[in-house]
Amino acid sequence: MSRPHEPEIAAIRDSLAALGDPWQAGETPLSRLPERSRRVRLGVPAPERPDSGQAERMATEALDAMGQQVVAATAPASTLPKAFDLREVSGRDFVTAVKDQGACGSSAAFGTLAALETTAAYTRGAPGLNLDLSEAHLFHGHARERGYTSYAWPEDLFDAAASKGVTFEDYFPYQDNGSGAPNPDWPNRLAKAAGVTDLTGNPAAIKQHIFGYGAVAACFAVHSDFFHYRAGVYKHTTDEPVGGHCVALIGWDDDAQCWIAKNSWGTGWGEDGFFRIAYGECFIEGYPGPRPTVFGCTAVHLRAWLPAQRALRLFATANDANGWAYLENVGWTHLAGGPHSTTNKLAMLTHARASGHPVTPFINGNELSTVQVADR
Amino acid sequence: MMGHPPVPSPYAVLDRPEDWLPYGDAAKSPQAVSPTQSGWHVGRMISDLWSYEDASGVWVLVDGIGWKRLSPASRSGHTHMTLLAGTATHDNLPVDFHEDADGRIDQLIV
Repeated sequence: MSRPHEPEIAAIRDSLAALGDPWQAGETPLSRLPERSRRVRLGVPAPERPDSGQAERMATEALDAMGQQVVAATAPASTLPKAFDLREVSGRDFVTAVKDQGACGSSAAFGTLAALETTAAYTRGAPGLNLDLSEAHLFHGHARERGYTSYAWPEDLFDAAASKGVTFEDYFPYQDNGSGAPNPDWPNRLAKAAGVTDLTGNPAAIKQHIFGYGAVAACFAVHSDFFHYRAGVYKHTTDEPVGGHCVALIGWDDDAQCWIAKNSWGTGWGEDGFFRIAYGECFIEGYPGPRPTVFGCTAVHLRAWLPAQRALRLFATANDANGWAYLENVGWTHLAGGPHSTTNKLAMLTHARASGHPVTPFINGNELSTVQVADR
Repeated sequence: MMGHPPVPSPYAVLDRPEDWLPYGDAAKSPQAVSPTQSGWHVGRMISDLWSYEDASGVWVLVDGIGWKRLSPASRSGHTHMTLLAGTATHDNLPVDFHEDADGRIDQLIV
């Protein structure tokens, strides 16, 4: 029995064949949904006016960025490479798990927090940080307070993430129907964005940011064929956009002339939940609209207990109260609390360092505020 | 069961004769002087520690290099580096350290 989406996919395949098959269309979990339900899974308004040569300019600028001097001191090289993927940086994966926004227009929250989670790990050089932040808190909490119900602009969500912060998923688990409430202790289990940067319309700056600080949130126009994307470098084959969507850009590939992005439609869609999209395609580098649409942040401050982990290195200098611990999944953290507190913490941490006993840290900012060493 | 642990009695700490000066000199090497090599030294072992009766009088014996004083730039920093040096010695952990222009260790990683 023919299912309703099969003719739709067949038509897309015909169009793709005429283009030399840049990507593969097939049945995805979204293909099986009615058109209306698919559109619910977006989350930003569609662009206001059609492309007028922007695509070509963006693609040229993206390619021209190769070899550019890198701005951020934290970047792994001094010039922008031809290809980069935050899932594979010298064997380390800084990208957190793919999520599923369900039947809710909350993609801007997912794109924003994917950027924060990755930035928090990448700027610390700590792939094991593995933050899981609460899209419910950002979308059903902060965005709703700003009047959003069925969509949001990442500009506002980054602003909320910087001013109020976002709690962890276990303190406010996401449900697409908006139910639930944050744990009242959420101010003590929090991530705050800092150095929020508008990168809209500037492919070189987007690359610089991804390379120096981590993923960025970006919006793009969604055409109906995108729901059936299975693999390859996406270029739209159908005319009118059906809406706008927000994702996180996690890398690029100049040979394939594309961005690498993380979506929030589960791992059953696309390339295990990720996709590649051609430079300049669907306004991915910037909407011609009322709001800027590409944002990143240069740091993510934490205030939370983190899982028990090893103290791999300890560092002290001749300066007053200058002790540091390299925690396995956090990276270098300064020991808080002045000279005597530093002495106490180092006394505990030297034991943990030598014995391999895990320590449970409370991180406040980038400082190790409290530490528990359990003799288990 | 309650009991009395063998704590020092108040009489155990006696004043020393007034003409006895503190023993040793925190600023002088306990043994053979090793030449100054400013900069980072990586993957070294510390096999011995020496502490004078001075707030910042700790020296460490770096294998293959010789005795190095921990910088006395601050009291807490000196104590913190002593803690790390103690762990390195006790648990045979290699250290990286930075030697300042005066040949003293001013940064220590274990």
